[in-house]
Amino acid sequence: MDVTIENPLILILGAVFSAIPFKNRYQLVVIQKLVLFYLACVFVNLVSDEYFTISAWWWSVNISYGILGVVFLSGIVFLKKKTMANDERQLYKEILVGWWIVLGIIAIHMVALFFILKGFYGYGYEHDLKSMGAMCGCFVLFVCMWAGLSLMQVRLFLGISLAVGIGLIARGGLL
Amino acid sequence: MRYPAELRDRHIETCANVLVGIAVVGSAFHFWPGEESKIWQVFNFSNSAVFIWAIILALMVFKDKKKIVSSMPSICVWGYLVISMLSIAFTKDIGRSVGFNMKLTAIMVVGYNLICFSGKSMPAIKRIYYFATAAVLVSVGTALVTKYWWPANGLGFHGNIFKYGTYIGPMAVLCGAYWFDGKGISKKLFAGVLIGGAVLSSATVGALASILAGMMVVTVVIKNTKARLGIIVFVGLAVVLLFLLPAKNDGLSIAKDFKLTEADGGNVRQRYIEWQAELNLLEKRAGAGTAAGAINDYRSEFYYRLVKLNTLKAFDLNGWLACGAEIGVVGLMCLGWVFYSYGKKSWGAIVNGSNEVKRLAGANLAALITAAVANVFGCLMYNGIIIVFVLILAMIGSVEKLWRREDEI
Repeated sequence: MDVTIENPLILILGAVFSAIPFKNRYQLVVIQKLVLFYLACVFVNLVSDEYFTISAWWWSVNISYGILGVVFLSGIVFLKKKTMANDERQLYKEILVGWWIVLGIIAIHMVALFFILKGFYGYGYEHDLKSMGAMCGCFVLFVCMWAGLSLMQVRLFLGISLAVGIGLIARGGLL
Repeated sequence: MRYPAELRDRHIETCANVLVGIAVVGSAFHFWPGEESKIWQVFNFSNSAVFIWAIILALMVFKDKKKIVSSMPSICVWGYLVISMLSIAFTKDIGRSVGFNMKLTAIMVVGYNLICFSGKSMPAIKRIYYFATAAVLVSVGTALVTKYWWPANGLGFHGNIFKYGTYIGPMAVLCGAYWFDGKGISKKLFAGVLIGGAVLSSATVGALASILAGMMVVTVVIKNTKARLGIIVFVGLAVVLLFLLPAKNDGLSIAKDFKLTEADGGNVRQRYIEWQAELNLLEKRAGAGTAAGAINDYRSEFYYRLVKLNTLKAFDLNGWLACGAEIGVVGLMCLGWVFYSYGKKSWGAIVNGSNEVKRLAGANLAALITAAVANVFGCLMYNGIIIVFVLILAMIGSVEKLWRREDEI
């Protein structure tokens, strides 16, 4: 595994914090949602270096556990009703614009660096699309998870699951 | 006899005003006079003012909780800080990362609170612009002297042109925009000299690009035709002079920073290789990052085929990419959210506020965009210059409150 968790207690405390059932504390709930979303991205990041193989008679394909993680966590999208309260929707839109700004900035850097490096060394760069892919994976997670994280039960479930999952990964016992 | 509450409030306000003055004007001195001292780097003028305010806040917390809460930053700033703290989980050197986060949190929360607490009314907000103007005059003055007359070792901002660029860009635009939109020709002339001086003192692409971007925003936002003309004339003239006037110290010539090649002529500048390494890092550590303040522990693993020349100057870092590499994509998203959220607040004040509010909000928006551009060629989150970013955010917050109060009336 490329990424090691040096101080897992911090992430576990974050997961426990996000499982606390706060009521009518809008700002705290937003922070909880953000922490859970971060932990979900970390979880996907941690497992994405491990692959499983599906093989049939004449072919086989390797799939990253990260993709499985994204698909599994994105399932939260079905747990939330389509309607969001006004301030929630406003906040979601603000964060979404934050995402577009970031994706735009990264894309501009990639294009600029492609031309600079190609001019000097004859090649642009081969890892850029994978980096963008990783970012897009997180973006998909955000779009699918954010609304569902408003439900206290989902936060509770995910908080506990991620605390256990990250704890196991840190001890090298999950994959 | 009991200490009257009104008197206490007045004393606290005076205290806040004095501390804001020290924090903002003191930022121009950066780590002077104890540049080599690690303790002074933490307790420099700006940071000390913020730490003193933290003590006052601790004393106020039970009696004036509402006042404290109303001067706190928006949820997006808290989100950014929480992610930054969680990223500590991935560092080997926990002490350094914790120290970095503590400084970041202190300035972003307590510093913001101090400026917002002080800037409650129009005269109080204007006073903060005067402080900022004094800081710009000090830093531009010393930078010009060391660049063109007295070739001391390094630029006015105590030897670091990259930090200076990240500092002076947003500060000069904040003050320049404010004075350009003032009534009377003398204010416009003063603004022209201020911005012209900032452009002339620039020694990096980042400083020049950020000032130009900010002043473009000002020309769009400002309604006064004479001011627009003044901006174009002063900035144009300063840019021409910047490339014509020879710097006494060769290291401070801006033409050097425009070059894409290293001194060997065959390799691309290390700055851009570092940018690519930070992008590559996102492939493997998009979610986790390297931990706040710990980018140097991992970056060299991500050069792959690119060369490592060890020619990168200190503080020549891309703030956006460094943020993504350090605290992951979620942290970077939070930074984007901070910029958008505060930009939106400013825009709201420009559209709905009174003329005086529009003037302040226009200056704030221009400074925010300048900060976003400056963050490409430097890092806003460095100790010593983060106060500028916090100042801009706090001014936006204060002006927003002001126009909302006006709206209610």
